Amino acid sequence: MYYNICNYHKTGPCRYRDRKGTMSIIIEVNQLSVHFPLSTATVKAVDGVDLAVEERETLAIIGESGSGKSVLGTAILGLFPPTCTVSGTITYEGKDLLCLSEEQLRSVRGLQIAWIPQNPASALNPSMRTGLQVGEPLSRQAGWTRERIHERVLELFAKFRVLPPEERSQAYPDSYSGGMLQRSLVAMGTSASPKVIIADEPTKGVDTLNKESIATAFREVRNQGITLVVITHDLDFARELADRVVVMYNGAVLEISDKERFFERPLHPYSAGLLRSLPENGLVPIPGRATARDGAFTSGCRFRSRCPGAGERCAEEPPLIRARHDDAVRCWNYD
Amino acid sequence: MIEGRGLTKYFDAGFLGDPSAAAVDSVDIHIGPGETLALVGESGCGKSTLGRMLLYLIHPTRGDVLFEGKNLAKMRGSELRALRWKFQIVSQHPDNALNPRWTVARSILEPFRIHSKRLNGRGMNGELERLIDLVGLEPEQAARYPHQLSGGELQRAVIARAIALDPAFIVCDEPTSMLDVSIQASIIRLLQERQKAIGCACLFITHDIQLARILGDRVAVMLGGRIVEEGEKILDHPLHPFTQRIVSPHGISQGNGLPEDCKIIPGACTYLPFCPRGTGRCHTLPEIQDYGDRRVSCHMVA
Ligand SMILES: Nc1ncnc2c1ncn2[C@@H]1O[C@H](COP(=O)(O)OP(=O)(O)OP(=O)(O)O)[C@@H](O)[C@H]1O
Ligand SMILES: Nc1ncnc2c1ncn2[C@@H]1O[C@H](COP(=O)(O)OP(=O)(O)OP(=O)(O)O)[C@@H](O)[C@H]1O
Ligand SMILES: [Mg+2]
Ligand SMILES: [Mg+2]
Repeated sequence: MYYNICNYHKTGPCRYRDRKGTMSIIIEVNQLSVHFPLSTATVKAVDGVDLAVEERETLAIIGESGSGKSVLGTAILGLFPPTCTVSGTITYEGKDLLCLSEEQLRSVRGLQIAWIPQNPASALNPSMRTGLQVGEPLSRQAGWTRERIHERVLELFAKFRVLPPEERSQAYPDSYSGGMLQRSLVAMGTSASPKVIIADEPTKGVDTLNKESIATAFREVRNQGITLVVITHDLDFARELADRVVVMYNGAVLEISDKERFFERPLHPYSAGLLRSLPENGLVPIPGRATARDGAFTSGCRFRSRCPGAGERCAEEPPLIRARHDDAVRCWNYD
Repeated sequence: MIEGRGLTKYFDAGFLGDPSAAAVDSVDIHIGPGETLALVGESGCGKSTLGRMLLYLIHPTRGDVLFEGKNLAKMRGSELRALRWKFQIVSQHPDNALNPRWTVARSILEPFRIHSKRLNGRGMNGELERLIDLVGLEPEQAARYPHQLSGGELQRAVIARAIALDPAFIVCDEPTSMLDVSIQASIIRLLQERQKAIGCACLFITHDIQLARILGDRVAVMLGGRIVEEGEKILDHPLHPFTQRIVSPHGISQGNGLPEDCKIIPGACTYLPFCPRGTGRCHTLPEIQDYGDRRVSCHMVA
């Protein structure tokens, strides 16, 4: 069995074995591409992503704004905007998600794989009491009476500090502050004890004190054996929770590293630039900018135009290369 | 330039059925031209409500907003409308900030359609390209509808619209919450540079203490609808116990959250239930007092 990433390299040195031999892979994304054909150009939102999520691990996906993180996350739920073209495979517990019927998908979505969306304002129904919405995933499970759901919702509200729980659960979303909305979404996503939770920016707009309650909740969830995929720009949060870090840039995965090693010494020049842009490191943006996603990257390394160390070889796109232990990077420096 | 006096907001239904609790309570605030006031505080303490009141998007229950010395409450409709373009907001949730049925370009250019004099002879398209480029988007992305952009791209589109008309006062409510740290750094620099160039007043609401420290000429800390400490270097030398707590170097793991069953004691200092230094005096609400370099509302600071 191969570990982490399939098709690392068609040949070459990076086919290696599972370090523990016991971990199993719960979600496997294989050569996934999600493209949006627009009238002027084709947006390659996700462009050939290979990724394997292990059971019970916490995976942080970080990367550029617009690099395809949310599209990848929703793809794992079998949700695609109507205009896109999809290729590749996504397997969940051995089932090919892209071949399931809508009905089969619905039993996976929300119940087995929960989704905490990025947009709190549009994710909640403004004309429905928030408590009911947070309890909705539970109501789709057998054995949950209305009273039991209500009790559970109040517990969740207390846990995520949407206080006072009883009154808040009766209120409508538009009377919530921004951070409370965000926390209600996290409460909803973690309510039904799914097998996998994919959270898109769960801590945005949340202050440090409340971020802690989200971190605690995620840690609890992880201890229950739930697999977590956390898409985030919050590097502190990723450092706090993740086992591994995936870095995305322009539709592709540039690096997959163990968390400790990533923050100690990131592999890819983009990752290093990202860490340098933190406010505490002087707020220095990476020079230049990613050019349009309209096919400018048909060849070569995607980060080439901004990379301080770019050379001739970078005109060819590097594969994911194993650089140290189980860490992989898409950069010729490590070949 | 912009000033709030005794701003107080009770929401209609009362605050969760409790008409005695205000979302924002007797806040005095002023921001000068070219100045940035960073506003920090726990979730739900009234930051967004205060920002919206200063913009007159929410009408205060009590208190006045003054712009260049003139009271907004005494202005006529036409005067207020003329002010609209001078006031801009980057709201906390970009996903419902733009009209979903308009292309992003149309939304960004909307201010010019209403105030075409502000174009100064530049063409609409040239202006669009300039703005789009400033925030790091592509013209092709502006031709799309809001739902076709990523969270961070949308947030930058909202920023482009807010700076389009060179506003006199801008409220940035968590404007970089959906940006990666590199783009956040460039957007912060852009905002600083635009602000210097046009001399606008800026209220910058954030949860990121580091950002507040870097950006704020002054910082105000809010708690339970009131400003508890405000001044220049308060994050480096905090006096109020709440400010001290939020700047203390804690990892998010170290259990620094406020206790869950926090019940605010009526009439007492809001921070009393959590305060390590609370005494009998703290059962009366402390007035905010001037200490030269800052204002603090705490009995124990003297
Ligand atoms: N419906 C759509 N039509 C066309 N392009 C789209 C659509 N949805 C997303 N995109 C584009 O796909 C790319 C990836 O979007 P995605 O939302 O996955 O980014 P992201 O990594 O989540 O970014 P952010 O951190 O800003 O949320 C973006 O460039 C976006 O503009
Ligand atoms: N339209 C409304 N109706 C009733 N209550 C409201 C309304 N808007 C806000 N509130 C309440 O007023 C209080 C302050 O809300 P506000 O949005 O100003 O908080 P905030 O400081 O911006 O918090 P956050 O950091 O979470 O965004 C909250 O308790 C909120 O529930
Ligand atoms: Mg996203
Ligand atoms: Mg707010």
